[in-house]
Amino acid sequence: MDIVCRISGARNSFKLLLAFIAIFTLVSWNSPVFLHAEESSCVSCHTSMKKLLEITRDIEASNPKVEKPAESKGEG
Amino acid sequence: MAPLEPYEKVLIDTDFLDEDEDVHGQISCETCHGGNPESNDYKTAHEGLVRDPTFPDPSKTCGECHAIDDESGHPKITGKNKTNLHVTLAPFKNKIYLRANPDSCVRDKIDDAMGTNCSACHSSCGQCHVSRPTSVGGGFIDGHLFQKTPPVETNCTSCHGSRVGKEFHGENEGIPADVHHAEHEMACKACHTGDEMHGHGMDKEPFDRYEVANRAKCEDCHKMAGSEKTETDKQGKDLVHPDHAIHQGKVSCQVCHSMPYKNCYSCHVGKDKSGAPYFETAPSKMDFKIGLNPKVTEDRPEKYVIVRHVPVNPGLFDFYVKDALTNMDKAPTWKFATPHNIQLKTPQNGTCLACHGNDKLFLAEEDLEPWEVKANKDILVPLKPTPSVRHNWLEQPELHLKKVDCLTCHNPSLQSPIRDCQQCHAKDSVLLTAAEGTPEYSLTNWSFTNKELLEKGNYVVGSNRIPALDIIGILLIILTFAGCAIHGILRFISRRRK
Repeated sequence: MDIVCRISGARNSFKLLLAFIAIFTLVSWNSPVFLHAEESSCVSCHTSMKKLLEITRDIEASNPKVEKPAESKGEG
Repeated sequence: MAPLEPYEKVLIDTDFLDEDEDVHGQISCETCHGGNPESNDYKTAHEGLVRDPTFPDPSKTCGECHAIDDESGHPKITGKNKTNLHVTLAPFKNKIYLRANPDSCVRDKIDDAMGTNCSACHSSCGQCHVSRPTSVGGGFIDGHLFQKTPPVETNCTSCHGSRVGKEFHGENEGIPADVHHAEHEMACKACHTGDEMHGHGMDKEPFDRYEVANRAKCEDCHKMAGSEKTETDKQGKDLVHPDHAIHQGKVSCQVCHSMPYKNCYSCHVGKDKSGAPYFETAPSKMDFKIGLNPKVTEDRPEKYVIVRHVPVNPGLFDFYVKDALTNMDKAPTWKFATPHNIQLKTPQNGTCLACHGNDKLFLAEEDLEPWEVKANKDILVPLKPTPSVRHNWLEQPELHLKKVDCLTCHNPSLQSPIRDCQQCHAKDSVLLTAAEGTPEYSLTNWSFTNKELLEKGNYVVGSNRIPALDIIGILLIILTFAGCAIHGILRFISRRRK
């Protein structure tokens, strides 16, 4: 009797987990980020801090080093 | 304003893509910015990209929805863009061209200099509502979420910071913050509405910002006496301040209510080896100067206004071209100003004599460099004799100036000031009647009527008398005589009995 209860409890937990995954997937696929990311590389890149960090570092490294620009003095 | 890391400047908040948070997020990126959204390589993805699709012409972006007022059909927001001074920076060019050498070659070089050093300071729809202005480094205000009201720190004072921002927030040493900010927590938009910020919408472009028809005016809130709605006190009684009655239409509000403000000098512009623009200015000075209104209009009829020194000087464009500004005499270097450090009580409005006769408040030739004299000749205030000299027809001018309230003689309700001694020094002195506009004294009350007069240090007929004391004194004298008489009578009677 005890074993039967444990098995049915595990099944219920498994069902709940499946339901949660299904709902999460549905919500995620309908979220604005996923919707836009499907269409545009702009969104996938500009919403990712990691990608932007990599790209901005890449740009900085590839830009020619310039001398220290003349600094303005006084109030504009 | 805290600087942004390069990646922060272009990081989009995912809330922007949520229709409930920002409807603009439903428009695809390339619709406004162009570029190639299909590419996963940032270099090819950015080919043909427009950083700010709202400058100079926002009609194909913002204008799709925000061009015309649906109700009135009048130009609204982008419909007024062509005359929006934040976009056109027209006053910059107008003022420089007034002073510029007419030679076309020189003008071309001035245009080049202005294009490099001055024109970058413009704004646009995007540079107010989406990102910080490009001239201060750009970067999204809040992850590309559109801001209905641009934030003060990142978008108003990031450009208008050195003078207006510091004045308004009390960041100049010893000068308190503007009363509208300090006591009423008002931000820029409380006075400078969206309607004004988006331009005045007339066909003719205004010469400068004071020609903008829908600009902010003190009178928008502080109604003056004689206007449709006067300002009222807490009891709903009309506030007709005698000083306002006297000065209205003659003196701008700032003359009485502004504190010392920043004046800038000697700007020189150039560009370094990489082509990056730079400027140098001489140290600014805190000062307060009243000048003659350089441009009296129906809208701005005052004779006396505040003037602020602008940093223009003959060598401004020397880096680009010599003798660029050969017509410096065509426009004053002290220009009409409206400092943003308004106070109810200021050093110059405490008493009449704090301003009248205080020559250092008025712009004089000694405040000018030799090359500026001709340019400013029309706004110099001719100095008048001191108040004691102007009142030397009185028997004791110094005593009168010290003890008599100026408004007693210069009563705003009178056609002209009182000059007849008999009007005051007489039994039926005008001082015994409170005329309209003067403080309500009462010299016949049983209470201590002289308290207010003595506190103000004024001298008026009867101000050293208290009617109650007079009556008590007379009673004492009568009682003394009565006592003596009764005493004498009693002694006379007692002697007769003996």
